[in-house]
Amino acid sequence: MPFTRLPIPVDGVQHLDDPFRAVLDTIPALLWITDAAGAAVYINRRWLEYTGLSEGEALGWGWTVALHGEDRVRLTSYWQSLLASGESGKIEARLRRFDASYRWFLFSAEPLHDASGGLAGWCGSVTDIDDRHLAEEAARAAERDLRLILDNVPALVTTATPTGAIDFANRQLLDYVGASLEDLQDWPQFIDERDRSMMIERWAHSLESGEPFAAEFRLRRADGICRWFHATAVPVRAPDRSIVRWYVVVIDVDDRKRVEDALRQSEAYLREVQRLSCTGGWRYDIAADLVESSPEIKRVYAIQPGEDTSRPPFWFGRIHPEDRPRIEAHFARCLREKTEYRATYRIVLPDGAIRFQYAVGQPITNEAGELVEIIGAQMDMTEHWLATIELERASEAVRDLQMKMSRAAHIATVGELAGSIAHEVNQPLAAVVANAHACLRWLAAAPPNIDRAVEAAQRIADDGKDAGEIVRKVRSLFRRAPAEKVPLDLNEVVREVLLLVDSSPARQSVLIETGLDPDLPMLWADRVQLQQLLLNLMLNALEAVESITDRPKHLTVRSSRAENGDAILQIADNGIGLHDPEAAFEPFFTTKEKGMGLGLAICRSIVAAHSGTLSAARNAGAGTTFTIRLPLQADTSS
Amino acid sequence: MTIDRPIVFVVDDDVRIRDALASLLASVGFDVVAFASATEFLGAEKPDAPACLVLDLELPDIHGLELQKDLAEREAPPIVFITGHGDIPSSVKAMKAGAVEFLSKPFGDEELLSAINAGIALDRSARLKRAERAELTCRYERLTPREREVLTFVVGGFANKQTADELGTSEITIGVHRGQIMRKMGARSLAELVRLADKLGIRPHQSP
Repeated sequence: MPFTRLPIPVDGVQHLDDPFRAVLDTIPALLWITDAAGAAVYINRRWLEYTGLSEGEALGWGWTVALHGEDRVRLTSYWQSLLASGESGKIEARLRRFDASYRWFLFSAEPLHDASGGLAGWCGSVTDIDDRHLAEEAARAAERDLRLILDNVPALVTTATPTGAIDFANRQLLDYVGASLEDLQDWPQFIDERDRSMMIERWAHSLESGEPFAAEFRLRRADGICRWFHATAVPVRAPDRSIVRWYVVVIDVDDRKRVEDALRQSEAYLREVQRLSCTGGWRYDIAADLVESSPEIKRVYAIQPGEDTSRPPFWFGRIHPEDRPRIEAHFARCLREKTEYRATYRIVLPDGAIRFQYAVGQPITNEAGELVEIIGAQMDMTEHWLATIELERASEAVRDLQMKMSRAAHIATVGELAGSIAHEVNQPLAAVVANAHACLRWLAAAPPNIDRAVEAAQRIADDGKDAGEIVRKVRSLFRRAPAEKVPLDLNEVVREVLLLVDSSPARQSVLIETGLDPDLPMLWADRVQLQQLLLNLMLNALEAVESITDRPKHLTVRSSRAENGDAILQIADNGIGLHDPEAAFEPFFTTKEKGMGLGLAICRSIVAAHSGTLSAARNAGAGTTFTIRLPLQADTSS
Repeated sequence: MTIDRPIVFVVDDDVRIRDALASLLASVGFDVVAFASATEFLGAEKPDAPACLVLDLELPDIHGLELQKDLAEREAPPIVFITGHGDIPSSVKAMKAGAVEFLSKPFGDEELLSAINAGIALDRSARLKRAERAELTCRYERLTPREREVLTFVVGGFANKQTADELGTSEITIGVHRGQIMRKMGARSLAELVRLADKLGIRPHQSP
């Protein structure tokens, strides 16, 4: 109601003619006029009727009693500010109705000017806006609620304009990425680079086509950690089908994703374990009469794609005919008695190959105690079985070898014997020497201690006798060496001894060449003595080549048959050689620092005991060749 | 210290060797005690005199090298090994473990006697060192705990003033402690005290 100029003085309103007043009073609006100081000089009837105030009560500042207590100060101070500035203004406030209820009104005020342009007073209207106000309030509350919901749903929510500009993001989203709504305009920066281009492409496609969007991707959190999310976006359309807005919901699926990954991984492990252990899993559903089997079983049974393996007869059909009746009966009994199934059997593959199987099954019953299914495992034991056979063979070889070694241990005592002979002889010898020195010293003393010297001399005699006794014992020991003659293969003895020699450290750098005549007939000889003989000669030969450095160390062992049928064995080395080979057979002849010089003497006596000959000869090049010659039919009487 | 007449222990299971060696060693003036086994030797009362042990490598009860190892942990006399086998690895082991000599039977008298004399000389100086050490320990034990504490400062080169500051006492008190320490330890100079402390394995106090 824009009055700018009043044709009459403000204070003249009260005195207006009734017809004019009647007009103002009948206008269906609440009107008022004040003087320049703001005191009401006229309030129309509608105003008075609404508030239930009398004109006397309302005029001046009396009308303010009808204002809502919470609005009064706000409105009056606003009114004062208009009075001070002389500008028009509007303000909302609640006004009490005659029935003491309040409604919202819009108070508007306009300054009035007199003819000379000075401020004459104010006029204004009061419009009922209660319905609108309530509607707005409700809308605001609804929005607050919505906002509250959006900010608290366990999801990231965002909306976008039809062109893809982000115009809203809930608190969860902003908190998660740790950024503002403006930062979100460049949303790809928050997406893991592995998923970034895919997301941009898909989003662009949806914006263009209007098709809903769904994708899983990794979203980087404020702390830099990426988690898996599932995003869905749907467009909201206007009645003309044009897109108004995109609504996007993003849900954290990281935990689910991890569980899925772990599950996939563990399934992969299980498959791998099944494959590695050659173990498969199976399940027989009794009611449906169906068999399920794992890939490993199918692999072992060489199942072709497309083969129907779902019925028990298929599986029984693969069992070796010899094992089938037994296994079928056993399986049937397990079904009947609900007992554990455990079986070992062979299967025949389509190509005829036989494989060994070990199967176990556990009966599963329902609450009523009825058998529902059997769950089982199946292991391919073929390799294991083959290995067992191999092992059996190997341990036989080991046992054989052990037997040979125990015989060899017997042989080794020859060396030890020599050592202990040395010790036995050395003991009295050391005593003889010490006693002799003592004797001399007692005699040399001043005065000479004859008694002690005699004692010492007596001990010398005793010890000397002891030493002689030892030598005598040793002699008889060798003379009495008992021979147990059996038919044996000389080549085999050679091979046994070579096995022993192999463990000698001196052997390592020596090339040993063998040339054994396979047609050598059986000998009649003592195995242990022959082994002693060969071992002794071979160890000698190894020692002979040990110190040479100017040529490869070389040993040759050769067996052959002489024209008269005798067996001949030659052991040749390219070592230091003997000056006089025949002298080497003399007892106590030795080229070694620690040797006793008995080895070759013993060797010759062994050969002699077999009616054979042992000779040595210098090689044309370097080294020595020892030749053993043994008659095939030695005297069996010895 | 009693009479300083050296003694030779002979351990060999062969009576012929025992008798011969006893006679030979007696002929040059040694006291000889012979045992047939390691156990016998270990169980015997041994006189307090410089000694040498002539030990057979191959004894029936305990191997000579084993016995040598056992004896190394005690204040046992030096060892001269004798053996009828005389293998090189054993002799290397024995010598490494501190044997005086390793003789193969039969051996000459001069070899044996010079080895025994060397062993006795070694034992004599070891015994002297032990006695000296025992005497020092005895002296050190006469120090009060406080004096032992001050000792570490004195041999660490700390002046009385510094020591007093460190230990929170007066310079005069430290001076008194110092005098007591020198007297009880029988040291005539600081240098001697430092030497004695070093022999006792006392660690000088380090500047903080």
